[in-house]
Amino acid sequence: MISKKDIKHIATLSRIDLNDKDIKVYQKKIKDVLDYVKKIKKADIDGVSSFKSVSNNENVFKSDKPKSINKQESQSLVNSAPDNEDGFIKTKPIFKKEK
Amino acid sequence: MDLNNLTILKASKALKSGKISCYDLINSFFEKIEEKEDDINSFITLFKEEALKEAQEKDKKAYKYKTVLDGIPFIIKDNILLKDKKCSAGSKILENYKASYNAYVVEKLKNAGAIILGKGNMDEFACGSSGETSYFGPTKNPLNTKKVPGGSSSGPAAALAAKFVLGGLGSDTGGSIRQPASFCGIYGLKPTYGRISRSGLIAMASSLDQIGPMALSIDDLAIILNFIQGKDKKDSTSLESSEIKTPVQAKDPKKVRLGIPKNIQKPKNKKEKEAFEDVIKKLKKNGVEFVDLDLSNLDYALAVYYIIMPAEISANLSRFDGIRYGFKKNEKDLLDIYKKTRSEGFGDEVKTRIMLGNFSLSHGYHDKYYLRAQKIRNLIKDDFKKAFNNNIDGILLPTTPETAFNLGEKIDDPINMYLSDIYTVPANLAGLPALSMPGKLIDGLYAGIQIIGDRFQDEKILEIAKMIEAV
Repeated sequence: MISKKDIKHIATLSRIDLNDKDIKVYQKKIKDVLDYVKKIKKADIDGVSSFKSVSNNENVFKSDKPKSINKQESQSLVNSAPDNEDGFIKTKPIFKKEK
Repeated sequence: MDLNNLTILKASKALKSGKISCYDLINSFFEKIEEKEDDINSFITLFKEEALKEAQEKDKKAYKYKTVLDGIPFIIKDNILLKDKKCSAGSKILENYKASYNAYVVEKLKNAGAIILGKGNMDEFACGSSGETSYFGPTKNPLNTKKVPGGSSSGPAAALAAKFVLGGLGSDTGGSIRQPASFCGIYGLKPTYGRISRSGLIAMASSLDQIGPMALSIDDLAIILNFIQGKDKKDSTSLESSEIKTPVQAKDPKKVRLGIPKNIQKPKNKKEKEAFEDVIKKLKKNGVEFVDLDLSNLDYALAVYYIIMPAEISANLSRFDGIRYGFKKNEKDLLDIYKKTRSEGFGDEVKTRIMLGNFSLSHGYHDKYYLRAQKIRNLIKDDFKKAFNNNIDGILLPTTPETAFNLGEKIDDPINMYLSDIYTVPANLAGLPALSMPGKLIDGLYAGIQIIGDRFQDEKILEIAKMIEAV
């Protein structure tokens, strides 16, 4: 059984805010799904390797070189951010000032 | 011009021969949209002015039609980017987001001359099997507006069934092209994983997502596929594949061996069960050989899917944080911006899946859920490989366990909703091509028939579909 505490924890990991009513709703939904998927316990996976890709592709690499794009293109990318200034995306500070 | 029996092939001939002007063709589709769209809600955005202008250009004397898609009206699911146009993925969080580039497939369609009439409604971030989780309201099934059109490519499927367009692009992660195609009585193909670049598709679950064509005939599916497939350096999983011959040739039933999986539950209603059995009977009569397939891990497919898919969603959707795209809730603290933006911006189903994903990836549960599911996924892939090595041409299944259900019937019952994908998820887990075609009509709705093929045998399943249609 997934507890209220578990739901609060995964909501924090998910960066989602939940009130008490929400917690109950999601607890029920997530419990229902987990009850259904628990049938995978029965599968025999001894010695089975984990899935990598459908095509068995090797890793595909590209050279780590910066590529220039024109100003219009870069500005259009920056413009998709809700807060931007002078071609930069704005965000709140991550570090606190030393007192 | 009668739009009801038109296909891409027929419309292209009419345009090329000058029987109809491109303006008249596109305009008559918009007339139909304006008359009926209020009841259907298949589009999130429409580009009427632009589309008619494009059509007028093609009517100029000097213009020569370059391809069979030139001048053909299309709908594009709203999780596929169209430069400078809004792309919402059916979510509030991207309500005002404008794409800064074209998806690979959009570039291909535009180069071929296709005219995009608008962006298609869809379940939010493709999370849903009924079209009902869209922030822009549910789409309704044109065959019966009390029924859902299926999802998540609800808009393209409904628009095709309503004859608002002649071609559509959807995306299929666990059945999102095939299931709505089945519910709306049209044709939908999920190509082999890797056949079409995912560049410019808003990612849901990257190891399962595949863009594919939706249309009004088997030939039209093949025609669209030929234009949008190919290797793209922006999607390292994409591969080159050969062109499909059109019109598609029906296979000779006497030379076809089809597999029927034993380890999967039968359709729950009698009518649907009988409809599928009838198809088998008819094919047998015409000489098709049937083989019982022992795909022993198939019974786990849906459970495995509902572990792997949410895990990938939780990672892919972490980029929607109020900083980089679209909707933002202003708060004092950065963490609060993330939390409030995501809580208000995402709908319930998306939030459920993000949390499920973070649960199955979290410390203490990773091995029990995610890793175990990945191992079973490998077993399912091997089961299919063995089956196809046993000389079968395709696997036959219904597309869905039942025909289109009522609006509101399953929205509060996730497991029942998820069970609509039971026949479609296996092809995604194994990266195989699969298509849905309309089968028998039951009370005004179609029981879709699904054909699954071996990797890159997309042409073969189209030929089998043609054969089924012929008998």
